[in-house]
Amino acid sequence: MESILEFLRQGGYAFFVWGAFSVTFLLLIAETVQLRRSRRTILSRVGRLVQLRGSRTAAPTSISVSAPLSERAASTQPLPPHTASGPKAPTES
Amino acid sequence: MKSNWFKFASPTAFYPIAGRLVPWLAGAALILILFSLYWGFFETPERLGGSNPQKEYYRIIFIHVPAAWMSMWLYLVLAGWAAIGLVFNTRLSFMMANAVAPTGAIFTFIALWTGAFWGRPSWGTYWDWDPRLTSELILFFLYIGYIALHSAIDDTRRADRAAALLAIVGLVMLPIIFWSINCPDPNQCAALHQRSSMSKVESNILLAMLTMTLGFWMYSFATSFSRLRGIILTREADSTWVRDVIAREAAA
Repeated sequence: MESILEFLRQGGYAFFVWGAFSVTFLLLIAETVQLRRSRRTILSRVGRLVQLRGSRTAAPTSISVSAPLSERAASTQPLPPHTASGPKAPTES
Repeated sequence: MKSNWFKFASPTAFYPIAGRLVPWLAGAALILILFSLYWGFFETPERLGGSNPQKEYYRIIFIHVPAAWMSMWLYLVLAGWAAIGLVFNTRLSFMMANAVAPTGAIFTFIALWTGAFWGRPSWGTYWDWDPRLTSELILFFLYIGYIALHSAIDDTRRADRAAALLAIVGLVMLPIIFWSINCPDPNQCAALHQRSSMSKVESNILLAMLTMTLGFWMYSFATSFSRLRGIILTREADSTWVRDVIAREAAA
């Protein structure tokens, strides 16, 4: 007990010795804690981003499938003759 | 052969390597730092010097000197990666520079803080505008400036280049800090730090100091690699390999 107190006193310079050492290791520990926490938030954020993009790339096919067949037929059928042969043919010949 | 050099320069290749290294580096840092603390507090003399000895407060040397070394070394690493990034335009180099900066700033702050707590009992003041103290403070502002400039520019590529340039210009501070105690004539100029020589340091003190330096080194590797992994994930979020990594991490 006596020797522990003696150690803590640091010859009367306890304030300077422990003031320097405590702040140093508090900062280092705080940095590791912060890194651990930021890793978790980055993982969840990037995970959400990836999910979002996954659903967006999947979106066109799912919409076209769910769209009424009659509508798709109506919108796609008249297009080919107009675009493919109509305007292009005169310029090429 | 030439392409092998750049093999690990891709974020995709380096991400898993850094992940495997971090626990080992952190463990090594912990062991080295604990050993140094034990040796520094229990196996060293209680006072230092002859007629006007430094008493127990000199033990601040075990964190002050290693932290000051790390502050300069990490800045060199930061500016080095910034320069490589500017020359070769490699993505990972800029990310490395980004990952090192906060740890470097912390060590610079520690060097200043512990210096103040050592200066008060030995020089009678917490702070003085002595060349070395002032230049180390400027180094701290350079780290803060690098981080602030990078986060102030939204476009990451432009932020990388602008901050890299600042880091390289700031490199001029390193020799100033290093030679700031080189005062040829005490009547012409004054420096509070004395000139030191490693070979004159008592062997137990030197051992504690060097193991702490190694420990801080391992700590810096561990924190920058861990931060680098986060940066890689954030910046490469568009690529498919990140999606696989996220899926794997979520499962684990």
